[in-house]
Amino acid sequence: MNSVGNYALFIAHGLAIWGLIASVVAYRTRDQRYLDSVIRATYGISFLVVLSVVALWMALLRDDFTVKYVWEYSRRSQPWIYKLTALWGGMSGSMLFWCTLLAVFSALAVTFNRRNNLKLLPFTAFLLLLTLGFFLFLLNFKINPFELLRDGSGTLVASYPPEALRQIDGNGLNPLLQNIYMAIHPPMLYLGYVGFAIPFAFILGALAHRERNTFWMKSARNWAMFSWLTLGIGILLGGYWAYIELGWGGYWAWDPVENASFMPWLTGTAFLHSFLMQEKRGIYRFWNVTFIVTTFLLSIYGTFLTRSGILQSVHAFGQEDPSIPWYLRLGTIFLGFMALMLVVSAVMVYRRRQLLVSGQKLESAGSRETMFLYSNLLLALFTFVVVFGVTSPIFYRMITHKELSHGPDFYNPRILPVGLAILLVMGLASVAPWRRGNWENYRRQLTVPLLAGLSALVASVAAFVAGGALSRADFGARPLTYVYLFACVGLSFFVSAIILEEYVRTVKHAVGRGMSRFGAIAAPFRENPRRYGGYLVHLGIVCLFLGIAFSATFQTQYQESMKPGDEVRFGPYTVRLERLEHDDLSADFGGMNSKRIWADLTVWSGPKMVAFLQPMRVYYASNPEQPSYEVAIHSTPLRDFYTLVAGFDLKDDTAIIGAFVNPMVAWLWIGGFLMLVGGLTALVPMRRV
Amino acid sequence: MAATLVTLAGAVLVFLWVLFPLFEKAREIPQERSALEVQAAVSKSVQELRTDLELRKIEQEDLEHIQAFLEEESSK
Repeated sequence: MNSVGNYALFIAHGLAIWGLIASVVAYRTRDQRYLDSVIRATYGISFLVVLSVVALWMALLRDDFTVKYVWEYSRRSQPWIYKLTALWGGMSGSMLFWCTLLAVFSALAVTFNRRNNLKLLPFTAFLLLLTLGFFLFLLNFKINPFELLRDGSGTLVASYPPEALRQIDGNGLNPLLQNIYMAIHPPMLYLGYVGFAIPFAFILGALAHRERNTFWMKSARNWAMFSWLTLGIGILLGGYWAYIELGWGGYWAWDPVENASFMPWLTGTAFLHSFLMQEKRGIYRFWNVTFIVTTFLLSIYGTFLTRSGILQSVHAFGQEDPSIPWYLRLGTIFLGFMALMLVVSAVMVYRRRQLLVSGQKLESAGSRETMFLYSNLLLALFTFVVVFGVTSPIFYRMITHKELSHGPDFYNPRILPVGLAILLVMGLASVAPWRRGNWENYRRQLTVPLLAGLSALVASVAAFVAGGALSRADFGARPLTYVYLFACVGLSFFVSAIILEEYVRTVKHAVGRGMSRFGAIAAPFRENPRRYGGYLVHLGIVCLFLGIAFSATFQTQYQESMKPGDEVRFGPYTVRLERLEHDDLSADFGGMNSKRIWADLTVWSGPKMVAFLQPMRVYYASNPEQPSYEVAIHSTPLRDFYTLVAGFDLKDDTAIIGAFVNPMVAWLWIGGFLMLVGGLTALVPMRRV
Repeated sequence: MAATLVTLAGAVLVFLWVLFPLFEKAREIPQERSALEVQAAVSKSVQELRTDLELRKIEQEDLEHIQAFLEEESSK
């Protein structure tokens, strides 16, 4: 089966090369026979790479440790679900997964556009096949997932130090990845990363084929929406995983690999909004091409950052042998591919620059069209800060040979004002009138939202002042943090009120048209799913802003050494350690994948017990020296009470219990849920009225 | 050995299937835009703008201007 997977990848690479040649011929000669051959090559590649994924999964499930990848990322005692997810646990497996998604998406995109947009396909397919060819080249010649560890006679064929091979039952998957959220998080991210290749290819394809305006292209819009949604959900799942698995009480640390997924999401957000303006007014064509090209390149850059090992990160799961010459390293090859795609895109944009001139003018600084320009500028600035923060340490190290990493101290002062400005524009753009910024219109639509925003601002300042001396001392220590917090609260209520007011007015109009009250409540989502789905996403963003603002400002941390029966006060809760339990830690792991130490905690608010929590440390057979955290959380809309076993002394029957009180973290996950529902709603086809 | 032979035979078949269209009669790729998709996009945009008209976020005159622009664009 391994040889089948290996051959399948090799043949797929051959098909990609043929497809590239045939797509160039089809583009230049407009000969449909070559295009049909390209389409078949795309189907063939997707079949073959799916076959190789099945082969690798079979090897993982059958514990075939003759395959180096299986030995490195799986273990006989590993649960079957983590044997399957080991596909994206290592570099070559995750590249195979990337390639498979791209092949399947390309085949689907070609199928959906075969009838309607045939003329765009030669150059579109060329770009998709170029990307596929690149990944297939890597898989065949650089990071083959079917590389053998031992041959048929059991002789070692891969170079490994003998001590590394003592794990005869497999090295096993990184314990941090043995978590159900980590099983879902990477595929979601990859769906997003890979999905952006389709609108990228279609928009450049349209340019290449001299299509003046791409406002009608469902392929660009829907694929971009799908990719944006999956990438966003992937990022949130990653945040949730970090929250429950790493034991530091937070969910986002501006880690380079977190940022790697955030960058294409930001430019994808900008593209989706800016593309709306192209649909309605034919404007921002150059912006849109720039955003989608940047999004695609940042997706590749994100994959490169995660997998090349160039950055130190808890999320970076790839390391390369430093003895490999620089020009053969994966990082260099990735950079070369990105440079190639950048050149192809830039040449195409330059040659078709006349098509990107819309001829439409912005007529007012307060019009809806101009609001979207502000949004473009702000999102571009936001992305620039993140790209600079991620990339500058790489150059710094190359020049000075010293390490540099940017954390919250670098990002927060730069990002927060931009983020708040985005929140403001998000609200204003929803009420701004088309073509002309009419003051009367603004006054009519903003009275209630302004009142709501100001009331929330005053209430939050009043609550703060009621804190007395404690608040004054904290304000003195970090005044800007509080200014941002109050602004965030005011703007969140302002934006929410705009959305709710418009929704209520739309429902009233539907009732006015004779619709039943019940029908009218759903009418906005049925008649205008994209807009009201978008508003749900905006409400989700507001929840995210509030959750981030409160949890980042008011997080408190506690730690106490406790014995069974001890009671300790942690902020608003009293915690009692009932028992400290553990599996038999002295014996060998045998057939077990992990062993646990756990604390039974009861959590009391006054006389009432509010939760029973069981934080753990887990020793995995694959890495028994480093027990991982399994935190336990009592979550309410107001705050999370987050507990962990920070340390223990079993001889003394003592545990060091760590705790965090994180205000309003649940709002992040509520926001994520609203974004998911809103994004799915926006994908629903519009019903004609 | 058997697996290798089967795979090789499979590779030859896949390549034959991919190359097969080249032996058909030559014809040009149709160059028209998808009229249906273009019309659907115009109607969708106009429907969204009509909601804005109800909500008084666009003047009738501006709606007509944009609608005329979209129809002109779709015919190019």
